[in-house]
Amino acid sequence: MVKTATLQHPFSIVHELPQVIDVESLFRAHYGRLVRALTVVSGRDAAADAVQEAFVKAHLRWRVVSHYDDPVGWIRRVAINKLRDEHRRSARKQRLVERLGAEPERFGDEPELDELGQQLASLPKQQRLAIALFYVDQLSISEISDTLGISAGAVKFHLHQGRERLRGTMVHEGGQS
Amino acid sequence: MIDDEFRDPELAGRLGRLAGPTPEAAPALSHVQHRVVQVRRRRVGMISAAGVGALLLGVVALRPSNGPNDISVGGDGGSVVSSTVVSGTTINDTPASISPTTSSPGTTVGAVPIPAPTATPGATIVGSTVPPSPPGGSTVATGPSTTGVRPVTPTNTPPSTSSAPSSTAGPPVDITRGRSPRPVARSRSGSAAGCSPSWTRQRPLASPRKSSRLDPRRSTSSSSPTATCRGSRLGSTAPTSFSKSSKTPRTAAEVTTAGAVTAVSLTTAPAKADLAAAATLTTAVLEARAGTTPTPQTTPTPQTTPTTTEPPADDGAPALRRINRSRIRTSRSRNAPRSSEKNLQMSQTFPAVSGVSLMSDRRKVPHEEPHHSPPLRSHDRCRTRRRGGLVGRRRSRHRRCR
Repeated sequence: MVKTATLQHPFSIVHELPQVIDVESLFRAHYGRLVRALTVVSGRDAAADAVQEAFVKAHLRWRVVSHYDDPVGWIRRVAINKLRDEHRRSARKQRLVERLGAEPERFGDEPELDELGQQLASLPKQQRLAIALFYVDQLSISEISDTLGISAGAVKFHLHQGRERLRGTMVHEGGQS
Repeated sequence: MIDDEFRDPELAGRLGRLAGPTPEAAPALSHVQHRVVQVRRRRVGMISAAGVGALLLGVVALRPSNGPNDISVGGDGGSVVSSTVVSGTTINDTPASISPTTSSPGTTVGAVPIPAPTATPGATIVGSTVPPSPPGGSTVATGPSTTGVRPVTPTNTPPSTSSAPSSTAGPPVDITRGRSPRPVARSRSGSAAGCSPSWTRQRPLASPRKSSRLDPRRSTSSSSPTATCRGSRLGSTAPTSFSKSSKTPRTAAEVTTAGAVTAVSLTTAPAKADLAAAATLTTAVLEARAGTTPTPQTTPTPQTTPTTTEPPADDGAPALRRINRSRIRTSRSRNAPRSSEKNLQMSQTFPAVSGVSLMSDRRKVPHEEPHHSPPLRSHDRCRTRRRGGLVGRRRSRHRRCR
């Protein structure tokens, strides 16, 4: 994959610009796409927070990250790890709240998920990530395998399983309609 | 780009709709930049705090090396010894008591390697025949060897921490043997000791003293109304002041007898002066016995403060006896290690001659002294003390002599 920063600034002026410009251009180019892809996995706010944190981290160590072959891939992976951490944290908190006998928190601003959204939420996390990266972010199987740290066959397996379950929902919706 | 096997435009469209519109990047970018600034500030604060902490730790770790007993050598050629120590032992003739005064003689020594003058409790009272005292109260009975056993007056006075009077011109001390003088502050009060109060007052300590490491059991302050005679004994080198000019070893002995000889100061070169000084001393003593006043053959050194007020004496015979005794003691002590204890011992046995330093006396005593005794070993003085009938018996440092 060609560096996105190089694509944004194809000439030598890229290297003469301050680092903030590079990170900024990278942010403007990929922030929306990353947030949309991760919104399918977890909520919008959580996805936006995770992507922003990933960019902050890239900004702080841009001297190193800028020399990577795929800085955007690194930022995506960092954002996914942030999401996983947040999931673990929220799950721990939820278990604690249930143990205490209190009602779990309900946020009123959560959008009502349709049947596809509910079915997607019922998928395993790895399948959700694979489907989101494949169909929303439009990454290849190799890129997904690099991002998730799994093999290409595993990515295909997750894609197949997830699509079958979602397709059943779609067929069910089409039959009802 | 999308593999054909899993291509599903319908699913992709529905998932795209589920993901929502593309978020705006501008507010998110400002938020990211703000977060970056915050994190950098936090990092700078942590790094600076860690640096300050490391610096403080380093300072604290290096600080104990400058202990109170360390010697700080001045860079201007003179060595400044600032040490804790050495007790001024005040000995009363009648009700005798030894009180270590907290003192820190800032002895200025010129280019002489000086060991840390730490005074062990036993070291300062070797010369004084202090019997083993019960803990808590010090019992000291001292006196010159001529007076014999002194009554013991137990006193239970805490060690005085006041600075001893300093003398700017202490008795000259020979430093020609490369040894550093032990600044042992020792004073003896009492008229029988052969020092007058005025003499004492003229010899304040050169520098203030700090603390004492003496054993509190032996610490009894002198409550005698008589003036304290500091440095009046042989080897009482506490008020010794080494000036910068004392780089060259000076052999200056200020001999003051109780007789007609008021002050004989010998200041000669280290090598050749010995014989001349000895001859001068002998002449002075002989003339003192004859009742004449000898003319000082050498001019007193500027560092030497001549004794101006001396107790009047009727003749020079007692002085001669004392001088001879001191010669004997001095010749004995040649083979013994020089220490402040030896000085103290000499000072006790040489009460009349004040202001004569041990080292100078060593160098100036001629070899024709009447009693030639074999060189003493280190423990012989313990035997001597036992035999000589000095007051009390102190626990010796030598195991075989206990």
